[in-house]
Amino acid sequence: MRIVHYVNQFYAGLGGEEAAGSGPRVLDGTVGPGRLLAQLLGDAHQIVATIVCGDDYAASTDAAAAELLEMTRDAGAELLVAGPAFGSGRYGLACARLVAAAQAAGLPALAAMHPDNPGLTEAGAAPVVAAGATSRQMRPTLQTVAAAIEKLATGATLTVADGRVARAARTGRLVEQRAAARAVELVLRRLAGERDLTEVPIGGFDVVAPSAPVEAAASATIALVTEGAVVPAGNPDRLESARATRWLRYPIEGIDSLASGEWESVDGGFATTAANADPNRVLPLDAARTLEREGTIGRLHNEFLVTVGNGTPVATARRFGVEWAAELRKAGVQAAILTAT
Amino acid sequence: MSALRRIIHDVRSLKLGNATRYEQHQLVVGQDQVAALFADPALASVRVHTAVPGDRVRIIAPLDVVEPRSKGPGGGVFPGWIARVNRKRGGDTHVLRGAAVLAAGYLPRNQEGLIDMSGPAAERSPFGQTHNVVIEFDRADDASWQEAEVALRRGLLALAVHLADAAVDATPDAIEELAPPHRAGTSTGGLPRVGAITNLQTQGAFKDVFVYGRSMAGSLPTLFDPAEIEDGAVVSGQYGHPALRNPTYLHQNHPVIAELRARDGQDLCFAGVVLCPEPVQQADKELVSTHAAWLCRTAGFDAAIVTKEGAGNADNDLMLKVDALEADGLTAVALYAELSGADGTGPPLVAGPRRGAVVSTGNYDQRVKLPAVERAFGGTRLRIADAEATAAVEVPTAAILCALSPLGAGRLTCRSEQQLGATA
Amino acid sequence: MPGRGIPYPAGDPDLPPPAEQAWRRRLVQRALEAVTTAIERPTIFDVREEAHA
Repeated sequence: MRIVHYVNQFYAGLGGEEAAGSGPRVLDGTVGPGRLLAQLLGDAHQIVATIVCGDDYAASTDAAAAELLEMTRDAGAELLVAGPAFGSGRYGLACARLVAAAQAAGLPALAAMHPDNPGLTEAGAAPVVAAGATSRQMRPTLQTVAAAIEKLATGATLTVADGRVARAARTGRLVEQRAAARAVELVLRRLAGERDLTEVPIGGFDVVAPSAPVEAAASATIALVTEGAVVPAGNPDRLESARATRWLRYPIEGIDSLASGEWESVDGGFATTAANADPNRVLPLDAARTLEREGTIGRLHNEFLVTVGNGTPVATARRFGVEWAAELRKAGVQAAILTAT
Repeated sequence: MSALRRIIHDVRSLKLGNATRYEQHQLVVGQDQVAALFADPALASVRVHTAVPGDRVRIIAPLDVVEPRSKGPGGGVFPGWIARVNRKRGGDTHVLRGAAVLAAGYLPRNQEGLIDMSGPAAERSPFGQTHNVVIEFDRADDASWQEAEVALRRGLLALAVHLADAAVDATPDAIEELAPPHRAGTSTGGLPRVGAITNLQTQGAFKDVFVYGRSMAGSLPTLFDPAEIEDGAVVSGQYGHPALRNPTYLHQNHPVIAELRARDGQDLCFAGVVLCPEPVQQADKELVSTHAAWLCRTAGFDAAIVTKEGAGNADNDLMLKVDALEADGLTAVALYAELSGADGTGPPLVAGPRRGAVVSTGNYDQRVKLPAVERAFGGTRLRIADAEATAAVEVPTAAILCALSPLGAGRLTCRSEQQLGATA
Repeated sequence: MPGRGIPYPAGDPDLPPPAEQAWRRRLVQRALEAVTTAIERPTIFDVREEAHA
């Protein structure tokens, strides 16, 4: 099979974060991890081209996947392989969106990433095989990928036995007993000694490793971002009041304060009387602008990012987070102040 | 404490007429009488409709729902709103079981939801299975939305009493004795003492629940007479997430209290009810949770079932209480709706306890396909689906009133299944 | 950084306007301290208004 391989700027050797904003390009043959993958595949399959793109470019917008897919097709792919992205959020999101787009367009595709990668849920119908958490697991991960490619080439479907990541889906259904009766039942069984019984598994929350601190706020570009649904009055772009599917950006260049009547919160999850009387209570533009003028903040980013955090599934919130990080990095922002309601 | 007796009258048919009356399971609603009950400077007009199980009817933007109840001519229920607070407790309360009164229509801070009287949404909402008197309304031009909301609440409570008053002389279908909870220190014959902790949302206008007519914001948790909850001491003015709302009707028919009573004396002793606010500050949430756990322990609870209203910060209140109870040696179970996304593959909990147990009331984002209906009340468009109010639509479970009932009224749950990618 | 209530993460409607302005300024200043501080795990940055009032 003719394989096109997708990797990010780092694994292509173009650079780290400083090159993350670079756009897509096509390179002949194998690059970086593709060399080892080609070795593992032997002569039966050939990596004909490698598509490279910076993570910030690829992860900050949905549209990048279509662009990358077109390049993949032009390179004559019979199979697209993306990653391994390990635990990297932006890389994982880019890989997942690309394989999802390819699979949906009829081009077989395969991605590799760690099962906890926030991009995983974006892979759509495309198979994803498990990678280790970091590139220290490069060789075993590529062995899994190579075996998966062999199997896909025979026309077979990948299963959990092939390292495919199975997602535990929580499927809703109607049952005989109402929830209050089940709660009484559960209390009684726990009191009788079955201490660990629960309907919903407890725990499993992400622990985020903090990034390095900003050296000096006085020389940094700082962004204001919020999930408090602050939008221009009248909500011209129709941000949802709950269950956000998207996020928006609004320019604040030349604006010193969010005036009541010009801006409002459309969040359906909390009482907005105080927010609408003074929208700076949700997005502290007035105070940040003063601190910028006084030189405490080097520069305030010229737009704010906003969504509504009300009934948002965790997976969606994680995706917004990855996209915001990519977006802000691309814009040269070093830190963000996120207000949450 | 004297026992409360529920005098049950089963409503099996509902129609509009000239004068309100109840006979042989049929409730007739006098239209002019209803309009008079909603006479208020904040309301320009109201229209009365009926929606009964099996109808191909959709109710858009439902607001509060109330069960018709009365303690005899003149009411005596809903203390703090239309009855005196210091009235005699216990006694007889007439209940029009199977009937509900509700308002529907645009209110700016109401998160739009729906009730279908047939199809899959009817199965998921308690109010797809009741005979509903639906009030549509027009706000007076010179009134604020807040004034209109108060007028609607008072009107609904008055209507609930008015309808139940029609049945006080009818032969009851059942009489149910509701004994007070077992006091701390009395013998239980070895049965565990299990109680309920009920968190009430307390965020101000359009996001508040009233206890004896006042907000619980700023209050500490309190032990509360469940007979008073039956008699309408807890009234909702809360219009957040439709599926995660606790309308007045569900406080009057508190599912956790009902299930605890159902097993009282058999597997457990019903130990009582603690009402708590859901404060807006983290420090207050911690204070309220610690105090609630202390109160339960002091009142002799061995275990508690903890419920909430709303999501997100309300999940935090739930989590803190479960952790505080378990740390104090009590067994705790909480009711949560899961937020695992439309395909169910995301993490189910936003905030969860460190220990204890969680009962699922369903997945917030699971999509439900609803067939077209013949008629809709409460609006002409379903804005969340950007569709005609009567159209066939697909909506998240979150939009169906009380489908994920935090008080445990619903039959939805979730199970884990292994899934290989999304279905294309 | 804990604010004073969900409906106003960067404000406090109970304060008179000048005091609320000072509180918001203090919050943003504290946020700037937070982003310039090296941490190893999720860390709560409390805000004590009186130190800067």
